[in-house]
Amino acid sequence: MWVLDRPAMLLLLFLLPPAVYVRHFWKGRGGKLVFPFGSWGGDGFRPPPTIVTLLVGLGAVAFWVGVSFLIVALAGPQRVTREQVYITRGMDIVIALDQSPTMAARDFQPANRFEAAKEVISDFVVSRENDPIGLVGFGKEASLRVPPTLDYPHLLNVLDSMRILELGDGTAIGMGLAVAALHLSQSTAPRRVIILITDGVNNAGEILPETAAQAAGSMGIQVYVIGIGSGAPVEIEVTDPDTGQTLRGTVEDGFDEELLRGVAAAGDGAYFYAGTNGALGAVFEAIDTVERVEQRSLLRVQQLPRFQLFLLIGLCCILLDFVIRRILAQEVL
Amino acid sequence: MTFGSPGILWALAGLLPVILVQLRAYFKGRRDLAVLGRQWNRDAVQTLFLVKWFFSVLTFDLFVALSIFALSDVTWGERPVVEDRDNLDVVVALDISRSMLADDVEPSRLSRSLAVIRSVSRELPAARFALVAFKGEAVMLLPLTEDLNALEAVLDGVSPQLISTPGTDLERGLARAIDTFPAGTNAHHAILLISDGESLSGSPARAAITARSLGIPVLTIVAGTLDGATLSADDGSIITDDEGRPVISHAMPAVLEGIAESTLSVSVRLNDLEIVGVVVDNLLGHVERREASGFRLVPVSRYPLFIGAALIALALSLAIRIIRWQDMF
Amino acid sequence: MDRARLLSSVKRIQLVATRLVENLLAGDYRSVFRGPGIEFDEVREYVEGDDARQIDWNVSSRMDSPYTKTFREERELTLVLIVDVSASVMYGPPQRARREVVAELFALLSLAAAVNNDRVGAVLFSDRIESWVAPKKGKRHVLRLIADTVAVEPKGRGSDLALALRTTGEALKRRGIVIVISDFKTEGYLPDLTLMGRRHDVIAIRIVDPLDREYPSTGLVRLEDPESRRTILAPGAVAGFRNAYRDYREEQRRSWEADCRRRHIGTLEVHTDADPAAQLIRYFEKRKSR
Repeated sequence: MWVLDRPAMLLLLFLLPPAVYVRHFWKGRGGKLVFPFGSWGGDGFRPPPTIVTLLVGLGAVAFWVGVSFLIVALAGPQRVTREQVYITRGMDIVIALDQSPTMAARDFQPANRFEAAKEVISDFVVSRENDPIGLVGFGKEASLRVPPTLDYPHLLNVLDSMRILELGDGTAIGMGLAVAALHLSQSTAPRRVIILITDGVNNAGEILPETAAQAAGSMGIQVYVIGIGSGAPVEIEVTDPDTGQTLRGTVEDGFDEELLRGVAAAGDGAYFYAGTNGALGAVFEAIDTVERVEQRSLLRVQQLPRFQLFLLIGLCCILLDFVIRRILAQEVL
Repeated sequence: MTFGSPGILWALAGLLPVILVQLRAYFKGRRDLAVLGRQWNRDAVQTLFLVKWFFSVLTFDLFVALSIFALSDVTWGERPVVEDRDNLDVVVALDISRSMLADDVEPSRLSRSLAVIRSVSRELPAARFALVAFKGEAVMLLPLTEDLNALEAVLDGVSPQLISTPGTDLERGLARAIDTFPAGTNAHHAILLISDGESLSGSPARAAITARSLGIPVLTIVAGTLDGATLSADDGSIITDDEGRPVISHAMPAVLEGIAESTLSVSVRLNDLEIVGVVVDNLLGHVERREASGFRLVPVSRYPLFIGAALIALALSLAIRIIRWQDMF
Repeated sequence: MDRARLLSSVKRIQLVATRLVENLLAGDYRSVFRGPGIEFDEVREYVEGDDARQIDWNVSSRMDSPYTKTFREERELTLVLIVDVSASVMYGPPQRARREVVAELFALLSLAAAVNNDRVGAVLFSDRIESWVAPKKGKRHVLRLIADTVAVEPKGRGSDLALALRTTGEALKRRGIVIVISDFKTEGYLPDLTLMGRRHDVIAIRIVDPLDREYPSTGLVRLEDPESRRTILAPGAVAGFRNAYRDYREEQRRSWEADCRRRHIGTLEVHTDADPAAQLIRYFEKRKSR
């Protein structure tokens, strides 16, 4: 939005019509020579239109446009941005997402469990405000993809770029939890939450999920566990991001619900089972509703002066008139 | 008195051709008047022409000069604005061009810089950090986060190979750093720019103006010495120019000092032994200065004064030309 | 013009003109303008050498000695000078030269007439009749006329030549000489000029300044016509503009000359950058030899 700092200065624009009159139409103006080119009672000499006189006319228009721009610049044009800023510290959330091959099971819309999870996570991120959110991926190993940050666009970019099998064939739930807990350990947030999304059995990593969950719990971090998948045999189709090979197959091994419940209990959180898209969405909505801290915000107005743009255009217009009159037409008076 | 965009003052040199054109117009005008006015009242006409020419030219040139001053955003004095921010967000913009591998600072400009970033982040545990690396291109390696572990991890992986576009574009680096502050946060903003100052493309001053207008101080660290050092290629050999002389990379503090000055911050040398303390003090200083009073002192831009004076000069110039004097012209 | 300068200017013109007229112009003037016919003067005693054919026998028989008739040319010539004192002649920088030339021509012609004992009248016109002086004899009268013409402060700006011609025609009952001194930057006077040409001996003297022929190569300047107050932008550096001006002026000159010729009106162009007396004398000599 544009505003003027000193709108009263625009009143100067009212001086322009008289100034234009005095400069171009007033009979009594100076700066002219007496020269009898007329013929009494007749037409007299009518100068033919020339490019130079045309340009001089153009220059005059540019001049007055330039003066108008200068007056607008004087009035202090500003771009005003309004920004809602939070004055409270939000909660830190780290989402640990399973990237093992079984996440490619096609029992979820639109493609598979993994894509469905990404979709739900991104909806969740968009619905949060002022809560730093981080992202941890785990397969055979676990890695921090995004530290807890308010830079949601960056987070969503990274989320979008995550692929199955990036971190190896395996499901190191314990490692994922541990990495997530590590990156929350120094947080000053009033609440810290890990949301773990997995469809499998802990079959990799040096840290047991319960141990990691206990560690997290002892740091005051809550762990929500979401188990997805149906348990029934499903087809999978996955492309290895390293080799480009497409693997197909059927998985039957359901996930270790007991383990996940245990993790949730150790982490002072809750376990949810989501067998379908709708259920997954509902789970996130539930967490979204429960995990809210009080937020206070204010509207910050920022004013960026933009007078230079107007001043520059004005000055250029007036100099254009100068060049036309003094150099091209070689004005005498 | 300071200038928001001191570079624009060079445009004052443009007055010279303007004056030359005006001088030419004077001598040509004298001749033309003699031709068109014949011998009539010759001395009076020429005197009046000189007087009118002189004053209209003087006022016009004054108009141009004042406009240029206004464009360069002259400021003096300070004005408090309400500032109710707390905490501190620091975006580190780190030059990872190949010249940062020069070893005129032990062990190398880049390694020392990374060490400084680590130390500073440890000294400021409450602050949030982000990391932008730039060469010819700028990328955000770490979004703004409180997570120091993540910062450490990212710093471990920094090397010139991260970005393939060659060159050093301070403007992009700085612009990317400014963009890295997410919307809606209530912290004080600061940018820590680390580079050897070799700006090969882009206009750092332009980005500095943006930072200034947003009230973001850009603390700059000059990595390297004035004497400079040779650069090593990947195979360990020393890079030479076409004539076989070793290429020496010098630190160029001027650009970095300019950026720091125009954003009301300071510039530090990387080989300064007290560097961590100085950087931390300054970063905190920005915060303290603002929080102590609940106000932030911003320089007062005086451009309306200059535009107003410029308009008056322009009006005078016009009036001198238009008003008929001594019943002649 | 202030009073002192004006007076000295009048004196100078009167002096110069008197000398020029007595030495050069008077004879030419007389031979150019002959009277309308021969008129009887007186009868006097015959002296040896008189034309015997002119003896008045009636008187001779009455007086008992030979008397002869003498005749003379018609002396009662009337010269009316119609002088343009419009702004295009009187006003502004380049016009100063025109004004002086007009005054000088006026002085020369009226003094020549006075020396030849003619009656001289004058009409000064702008867009109105500024002054009308009925023809009278005498050098004092003429000197007075010259002073008035030099000092004239016209009230009008335009140049209504038609009005001046009409006024003169109505006032001048007998055949006379009418000399029009003007820059002829006016229109609509041709019907009246035709009438005037039929009844009187008319000469049109056109004052021409160098700026009336060519526009000089100069920078851009705003020009104001002194009569209509119309302004134009004159880009003197543009060849097209200068050519258009020259063509316009040339066309004006040609049509003026043709219009006068067709009506058997003498034409003389007096250039302001040369001596007007010399141009006038040359003209009279040429006309005499015709």
